[in-house]
Amino acid sequence: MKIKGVFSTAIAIAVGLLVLVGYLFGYKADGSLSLLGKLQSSLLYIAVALAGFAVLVGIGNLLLVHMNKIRHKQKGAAYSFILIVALVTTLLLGLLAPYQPKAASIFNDSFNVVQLPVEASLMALLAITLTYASIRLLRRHLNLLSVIFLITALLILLGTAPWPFLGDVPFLSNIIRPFVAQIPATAGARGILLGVALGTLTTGLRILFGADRPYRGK
Amino acid sequence: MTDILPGLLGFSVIFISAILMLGLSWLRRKSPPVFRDIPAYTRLRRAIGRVVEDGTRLHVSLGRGVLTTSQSASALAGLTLLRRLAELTSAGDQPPIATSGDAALTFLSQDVLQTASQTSAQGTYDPTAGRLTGLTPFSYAAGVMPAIRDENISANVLMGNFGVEAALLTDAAERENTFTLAASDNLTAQAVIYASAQEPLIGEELYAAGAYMDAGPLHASSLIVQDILRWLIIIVILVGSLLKLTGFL
Amino acid sequence: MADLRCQMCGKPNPPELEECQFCGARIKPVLASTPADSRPIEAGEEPISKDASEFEKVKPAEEGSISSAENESPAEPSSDESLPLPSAATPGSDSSKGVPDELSGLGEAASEDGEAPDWLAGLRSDKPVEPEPVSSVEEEATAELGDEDWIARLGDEMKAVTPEPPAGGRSAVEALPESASEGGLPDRLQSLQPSESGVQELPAASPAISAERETGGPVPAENLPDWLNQLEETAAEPEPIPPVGGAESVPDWLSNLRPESGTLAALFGGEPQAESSSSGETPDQLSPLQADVNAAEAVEKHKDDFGVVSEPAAQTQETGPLPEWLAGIDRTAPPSGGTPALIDIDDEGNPPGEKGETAFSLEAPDWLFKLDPEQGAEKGTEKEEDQLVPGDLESAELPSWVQAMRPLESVVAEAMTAPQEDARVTEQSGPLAGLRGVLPSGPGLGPLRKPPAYSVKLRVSDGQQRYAAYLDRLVTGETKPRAVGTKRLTSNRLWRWLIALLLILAVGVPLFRGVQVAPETSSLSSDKGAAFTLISGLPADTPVLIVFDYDPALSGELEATAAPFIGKLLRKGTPLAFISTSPTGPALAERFMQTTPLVSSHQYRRGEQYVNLGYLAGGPAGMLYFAGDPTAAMPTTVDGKPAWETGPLQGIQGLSNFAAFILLTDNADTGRNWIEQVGPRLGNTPMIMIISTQAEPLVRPYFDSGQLKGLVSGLADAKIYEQSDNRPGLAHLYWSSFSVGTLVAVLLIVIGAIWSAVTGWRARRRNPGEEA
Repeated sequence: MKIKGVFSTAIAIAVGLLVLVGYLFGYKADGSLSLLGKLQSSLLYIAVALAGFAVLVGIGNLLLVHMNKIRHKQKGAAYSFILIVALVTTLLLGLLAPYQPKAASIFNDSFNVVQLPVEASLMALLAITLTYASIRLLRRHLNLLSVIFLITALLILLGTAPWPFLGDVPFLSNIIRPFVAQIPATAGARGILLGVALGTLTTGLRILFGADRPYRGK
Repeated sequence: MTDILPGLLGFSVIFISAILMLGLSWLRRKSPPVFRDIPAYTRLRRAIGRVVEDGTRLHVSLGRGVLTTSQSASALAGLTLLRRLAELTSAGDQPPIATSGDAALTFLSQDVLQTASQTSAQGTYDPTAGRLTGLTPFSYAAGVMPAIRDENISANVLMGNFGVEAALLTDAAERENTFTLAASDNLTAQAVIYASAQEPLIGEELYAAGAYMDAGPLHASSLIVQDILRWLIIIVILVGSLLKLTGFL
Repeated sequence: MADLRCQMCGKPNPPELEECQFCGARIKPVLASTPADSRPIEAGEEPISKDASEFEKVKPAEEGSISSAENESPAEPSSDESLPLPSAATPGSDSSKGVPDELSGLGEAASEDGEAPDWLAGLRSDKPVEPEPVSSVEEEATAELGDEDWIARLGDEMKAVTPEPPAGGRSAVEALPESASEGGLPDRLQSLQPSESGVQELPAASPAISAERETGGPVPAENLPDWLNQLEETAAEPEPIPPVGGAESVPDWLSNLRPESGTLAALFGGEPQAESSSSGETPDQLSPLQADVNAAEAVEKHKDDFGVVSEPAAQTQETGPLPEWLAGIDRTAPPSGGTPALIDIDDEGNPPGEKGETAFSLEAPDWLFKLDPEQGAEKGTEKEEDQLVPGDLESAELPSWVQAMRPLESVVAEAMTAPQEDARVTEQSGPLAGLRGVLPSGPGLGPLRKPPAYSVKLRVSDGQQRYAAYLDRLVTGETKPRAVGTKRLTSNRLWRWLIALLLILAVGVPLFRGVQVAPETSSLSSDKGAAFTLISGLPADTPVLIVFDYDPALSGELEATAAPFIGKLLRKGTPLAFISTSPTGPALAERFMQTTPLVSSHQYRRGEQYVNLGYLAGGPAGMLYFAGDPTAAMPTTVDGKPAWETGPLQGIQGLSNFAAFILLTDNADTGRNWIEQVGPRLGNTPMIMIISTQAEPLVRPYFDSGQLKGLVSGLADAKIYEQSDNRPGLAHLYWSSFSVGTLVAVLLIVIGAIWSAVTGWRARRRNPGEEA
């Protein structure tokens, strides 16, 4: 097991370094790929292929989880059965779609009739959830930041949508909202994104050093 | 030369950061650094203790960040926290579960949980402890909500790449009256998390999880390097703005 | 002549010897009432059967004097050998010592069957020694022995009997010599006469108790055997205090422990003499006996002082410093009331074992027999009175050598001062009762006492009763099933229902009723019409690449936002190519083309007017790959047909060959990825982003920097473009619902936030530290 961990760590470090260097020095002056660039591209293609295959294996994991739920008669086993039936049906329809117009039609309709409305409903539910969360924000965190947060959200809302019978409020729609959205919000977002980028950098370096080994290297 | 200048600049930044991280981790072994208090991590420790005492389960959600994208960093930070929390809850009755919206992330979470199970009191490893709940954001959220409700969970840690669907997860956790700590590298999700989560983390506080949970010395030195680089960026921005204003640039 | 075998070590000795030359034990008995016809038992002889009752009916010599027996007619040796029984030390009448426990039974048994010999009966303190009636055979023996003549008889017998070397196998219980006179005593008895030196032999068999016990009269010293006289003298003499530190076999305290009465002479000769004229030394063989006698007499004398069987001490004289291990013991009378815990005191207050405790006490420890009282007798007396003064702490604690160093003044002062009150605590109970200077049993524990008796009733205070009642209620309540009543909705669920109802009404009523409550917008779009202008100027025959990278959940907003712009392209007949990095993208693209107003009306057909390239895997890596070589990255369409050889994409080699690049996304990160990966490969192809309102702040910098040529954000920009194009679409349809719904949401947030803030503040004020 130790050799396996060392081997995994060595591959991760080597490939990571190659891709990093390929990003930095992968192109020649004329724009063509250098050797490092080609090596990096090859490694990325392998990663893409693995990610695609991983989707299939992930679906298998999904099936295993719900089948265990049905087998052990856990709570929600009925929904797990429906999920498995729907998954298998959609898979078969998708595989037949190129060869059977009927299957393709049913396949498209299943997306339009089932998945899209369900996700849209979840999005609508999100509107209610966020409204309720905004109402309870001051009860949970009664501080200056929460008040500023709420006021900003209200200003953006009022500046984005027209008022009934009044339409756009000029000061609010033309000055306040653009100013808040493009200057403080953008600035704050930039700062947060910079911090996230720095965190991404150090996280990647820890992977390259082998300090973080989520691949059973430790 | 100008073509490789950005590459050189980037490589130098990366190289300096690496040197700083290694050097600081070696120097700080003797005197551990002191960071500002983040109450969310303090409460997380308490919640983990309650999980072990109550015999309930911990749920860690890693989001839907694809490993081949830049959003993988937040997912890797979530994996680090998952490993640390799995070690902390190894004495509990039930092993933690990890949900994710990406297949590769699911495999990594399974690896982490399997490694932690070798030293845990739960005994054997359950392959379904790390699970893929959906491939799209809302289908992923729809798959996580039943897990929060039905798996006897008393603490939720949402750390990774989330979108606005994070509000559904935090709402489900609040309905079950469980502890929720949420963090995302997505700005929209951060706004949603700030309004709906019990313990929100904003910005790069997500990447500080390893340092605050004592995952290793390199995590603490990473935070210091981030601070150093942040100050450098601040200085560069200010100087560049001044030069732009004065017309030199 | 056969050698005599010693009965102690078993080694042969010459017959003429009276003591074993190896171990020093007596070979020939000292006293033996050997009948006339008796003869020494030879080896190999068969035992002669005797009646056991004969042995029990041997009368003690109550005369107590061998010399008295000498005056009488020599008793004929009886046919049966009188086997004198070992007798316990019998003190004088004044001491009234009892028979030891081991021998008390004999007296009792004898009294029961009435066959106890007189000497034995005389051992009992409570009964006068009376001659027991004996059988005819026994009468003979008793006649022979006589009450007062047995010792004298011993002497006669001893005279008559020629000392012969004892044969092997002679028992230790040997007939006493015939002659009890002093002159006729055997050598061993003669040697017991008071003399300066001489090895005194322990008599193998004690003679019968003198009849003096009956008469109470003392036996003249001249009638006593020498050894008895010696014992008496030795007992009468005060023991000198030997100096401490010398190599003494007899400790001083022991040698000083001399009974003033109850000597062996008193045992056999009657009343013990307080002062005996004998000043001889105790024979060695009798030294342990003497010590034992002394100890017994001392115990009797001080029985009131100690209450335990301790070493007898001189009544008036200090017997010398006690050894260190006994230094703490004070020979003072215990205070009244002290009850020894472990010692059985009889009714007369004598400790057990004191009655009848004689030199022949079976309870004497072995080491006493090894002690030589001669050494103790040689020691001088030294301040015995001082050492025996009760309450004298210093003298009891100080070793003698320390005492010797004391100044004379202090000693005199101590002697003159009255005995000080002993400050030391006298133990009241327990095994050390009566002793002073005993360490307490424990700090704070105090003296031992009888444990208090606690009531068996449970004493419960009021508070404990309350707690018990409370616990009982809790436990009882756990077992009782609680009726599940109708539960009213919690405030959280009520809030959610209320919010949902209001929002549904606010959005649904204008939508389904077609009511236009919101006027037309007059605002400018986010990019100030750049996208609209750009699209209007695109060539009609060049394909446009459209990326569908949004989630199905946000299809309502994105479809409404993108419809005016895509519709304009369709009106011009521009061929389209669709691609997506999301698995649901191709399906969304098809839905958009078939159902979206302003788009579906143009009835574009797949494969003819537009090509759906399908799902591009790999995220940014896939984007980069596609940007570098789109024909290689996506060679076929979703139908499996070649995408770049025929149809709308024929002749397209790279992204720069497209007329425009339009990205539909709800995620700023996706937009950034496309900009970063594909932007450098577009060349002159403009990139336009149609995004959700939530992503605008993060994407705008790219528009401001020129990387994006057009930016359309949300329903508001779509409304503006529909108005400018004068073609109402979904934006127009959703505009009133959007207005009312937003207003209702704002109102709910404002009112609810104020209410939550007030209630939260009041809750925190009521319970500080409570978390919401």
